[in-house]
Amino acid sequence: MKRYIYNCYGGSHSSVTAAAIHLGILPDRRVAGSEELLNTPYFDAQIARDHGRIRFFGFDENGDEVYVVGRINLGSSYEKIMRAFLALAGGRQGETVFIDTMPYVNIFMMAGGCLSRRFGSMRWGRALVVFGTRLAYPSFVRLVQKVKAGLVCKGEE
Amino acid sequence: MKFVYIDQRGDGAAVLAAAYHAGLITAAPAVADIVQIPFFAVHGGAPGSLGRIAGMENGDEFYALSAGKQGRLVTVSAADFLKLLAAQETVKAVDVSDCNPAVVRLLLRIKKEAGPKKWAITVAAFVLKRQMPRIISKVDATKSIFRQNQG
Repeated sequence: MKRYIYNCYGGSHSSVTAAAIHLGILPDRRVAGSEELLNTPYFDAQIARDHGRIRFFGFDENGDEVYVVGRINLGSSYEKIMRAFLALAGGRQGETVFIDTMPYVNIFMMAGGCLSRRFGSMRWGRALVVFGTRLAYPSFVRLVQKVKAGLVCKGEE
Repeated sequence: MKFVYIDQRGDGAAVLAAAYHAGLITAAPAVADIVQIPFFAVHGGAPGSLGRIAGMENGDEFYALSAGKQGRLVTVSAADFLKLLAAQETVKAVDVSDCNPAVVRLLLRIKKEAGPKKWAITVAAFVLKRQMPRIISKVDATKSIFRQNQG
């Protein structure tokens, strides 16, 4: 059994979108609609004190576990740190895949996420973040396809 | 049990906390003793740097880890991650970032940027020595949680 941990800055938009595509909650053959995105569990719902919490999202078709987490500005260091804990715990590195979704985030998602999550302007923030997510959606689909094909690094055994 | 003490660079308060927990230093260590602790003022500061400070005969091991400015987030994430691995009774992460005063962070940065400056390391050790009461209270709290879990 594997566990996939999608991570981004706030754990609210890009990681949630990618995880939802992975689980089939969102479609992978077309761009999801605004309502579909806004109805996705955890989408645009994370608050500051949740940062760092690894939240279970569901089981995929292979019975593997999918999680999302907001890791602020730790970037690739987040995976390095968690793999250090994995090594200390005696876990197998190949069973956990960390997927950084930030490279696929565009300016609209950043601005919208900031407006919605930081400044509480849900109406404008959500409109902007949904627009940005739909724009970047094909990239998230390709990322998930790569993850499922095992093309994303799983750490050294 | 593996105890991982976390601070910004993994070479300041985290090292002292791990060393105190392991019994390498006393509650009132000399500056010279602090400077001698493995990994004190030696990490590059990149988040994720892990240093093994000590290992005990009973199997306990003590580490210092750098987490940049996100010590609290890393502690929360580590706790969740260790639960996923069913290893929460094997590894314990403790954030001691707030025991590193700004002046220590600055001194350790000077040491990193300007090469091995003995005076910067000594002053950092001196300042951290004054933080020992806070460090001790965090270590004691960790020990007491561990004892409760064992009980």
